[in-house]
Amino acid sequence: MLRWLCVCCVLAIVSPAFAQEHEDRQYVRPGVLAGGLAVVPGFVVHGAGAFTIGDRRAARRLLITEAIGLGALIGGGTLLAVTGTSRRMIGVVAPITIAGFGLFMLSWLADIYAATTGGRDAHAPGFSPRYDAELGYAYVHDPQFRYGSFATLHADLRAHDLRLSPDAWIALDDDNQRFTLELAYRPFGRTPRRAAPDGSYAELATAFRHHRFGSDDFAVITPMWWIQARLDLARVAPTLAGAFVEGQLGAGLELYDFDVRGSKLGDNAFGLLLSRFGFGAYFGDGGARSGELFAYYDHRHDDFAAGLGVQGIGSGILGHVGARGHYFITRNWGVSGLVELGSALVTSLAVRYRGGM
Amino acid sequence: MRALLLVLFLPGCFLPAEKRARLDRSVGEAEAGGITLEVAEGRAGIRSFDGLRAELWAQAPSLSISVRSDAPRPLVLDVLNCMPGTLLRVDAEAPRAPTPVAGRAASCHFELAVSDSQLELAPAAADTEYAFAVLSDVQDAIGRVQDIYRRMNADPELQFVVSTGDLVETGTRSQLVHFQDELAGLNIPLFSTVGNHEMGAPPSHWHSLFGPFNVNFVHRGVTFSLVDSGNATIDPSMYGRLDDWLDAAEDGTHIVLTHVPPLDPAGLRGGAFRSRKEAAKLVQKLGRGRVDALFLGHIHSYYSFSVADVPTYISGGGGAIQERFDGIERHYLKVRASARGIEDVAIVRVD
Repeated sequence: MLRWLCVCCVLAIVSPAFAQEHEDRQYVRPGVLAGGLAVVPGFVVHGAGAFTIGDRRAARRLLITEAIGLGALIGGGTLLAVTGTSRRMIGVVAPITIAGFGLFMLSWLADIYAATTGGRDAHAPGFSPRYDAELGYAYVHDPQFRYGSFATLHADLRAHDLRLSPDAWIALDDDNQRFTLELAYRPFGRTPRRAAPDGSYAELATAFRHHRFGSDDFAVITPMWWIQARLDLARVAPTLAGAFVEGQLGAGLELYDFDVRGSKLGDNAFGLLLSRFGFGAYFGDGGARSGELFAYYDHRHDDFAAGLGVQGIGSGILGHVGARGHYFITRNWGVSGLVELGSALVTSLAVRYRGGM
Repeated sequence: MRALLLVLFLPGCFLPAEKRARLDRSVGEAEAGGITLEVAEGRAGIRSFDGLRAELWAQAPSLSISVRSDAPRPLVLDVLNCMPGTLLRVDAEAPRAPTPVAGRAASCHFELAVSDSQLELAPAAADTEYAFAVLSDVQDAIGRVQDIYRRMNADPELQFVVSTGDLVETGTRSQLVHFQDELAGLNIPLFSTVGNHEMGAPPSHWHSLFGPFNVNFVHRGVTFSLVDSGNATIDPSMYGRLDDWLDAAEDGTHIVLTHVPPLDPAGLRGGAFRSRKEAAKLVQKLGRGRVDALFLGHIHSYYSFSVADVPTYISGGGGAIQERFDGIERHYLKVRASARGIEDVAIVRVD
């Protein structure tokens, strides 16, 4: 790991001079071969793919991002090990470590994208609907619980810079219900009353969730707070056009309501780290027929997917991975889907309607 | 739908502890030379048996062993990890005292004549209130573990040690054998389930050397349930056994031990179960079952708190890399218990 960091730092320093010498020289056309080079040796030297297709600026920026990510990952990991994951430092060190891992992975994925596509003419929708609702079905396979089938309902209601998002998952074959109400403030990015050049945004959000496990005699109440941002990568380099990255960082407090005599809610409060990062791509020209696909890692262990099951000594640490996407077939109607893999498998499919554009 | 999903998405991800739960069903059973041994409830692993000599690793203070033989024959029985003062009763015969196995402090050696016989090993009767130690997370500090054992040996009140696991670094056979060799320096037995640091090697090593991953026993009115959470989850099939153990101990003192905390009191750290939903399900069961104490490891410090009205203790003081800035170094817990409940839980500092 340390060796990689050194290599990346050296390359980040020398690459501008090298780039000037070989300005815009394309060794390989964007495609499978360039994408393969972005995988190997690109996993070690991020930007290798962009470099081979002649985008030196993207290559340099991806390499620098990798170096920052590796630095945070190694620094944070070292602090975790040295302090024995001290309770007094974990609130700072864990997010830094996860963010470092996120930067490392996202710069690698972006390089693969650049090398494979050379940039795409795809954009976020050029409007922000005032309301956006979806009704769907979800299947959850969790060997620890009886539930499987869920009806899902989600809505985004936007006014000014605010978004209100109610969300419900109701089991059809078990006594299990989850309700969430989320309120977000968007100081940056497109809203119904503010235009923006692309899909980039930043949000401050809070949410309140009540998840009732009726068959298992407990419920969980979770207030949460987080910041969330998306960056359209066309801002970074033209070969990354059509892609975006997204990150989320925050915390929650889980209050467990056990059906046990003598149990007090205040005694059963446990903090929760919220951290998610992912890479996505737009589909369509930003008009009526458009959509996006987003693949991510989510560190939270409390939702339906929870943490990944791992064989070996590292059990319990990782959160889950997932992918979600949607596509609007008409200006108003679309479909959306979700797959998440953790200790449970979550899949969902929904019909979506938006309006007030 | 379910079958398709299971095929597509690696069932091993969902049930990482399944193989160990399955292995538990065959613990304590052996057959050789026309003679069959069966240890009730799988409370001891049969490490070797050739029809004439059997070597067992006890995971409980008392053992009940059924012997089935087509004819009377001699049997040499070596029980390692045996309680001091253990007596053996063969059918209706008078109890007999063991001799120690060479080089093993906590061990019992018997030379018997058996046919269809019932063997009952149990410590001699004593006071109902007693003390035991809780020690977990030794890992790479195995070279210094004799400091802890000497401290325990100097305490005549301790009757045995229970552990939530992480005895070694990765769980290889040589590491487990090394740990058992080091136990020769401890005068009392150590009963343990596995931690995540035993998950770095095939479970067959633990199975053949220690026996059960999950075990339940009653000692002088106090029930102990050691539950395998080595993969930060409990196998779904184990919840059925746990329900039975909770029901059986409903009116008595019940102590549950498992390695990974269902919920980490430093919640942002998440040194806990991989699923908080499952964690809550487990805690709800323990609370409903009126468990008297829950002992956990995994986090290399000491915490005492209550969840679902269950007094909960995290103790990972065996010497593995310590949590800093908490003033807690190597330690173990000394617990006084009786059929009336938990009398006291005290931290014993070794450094």
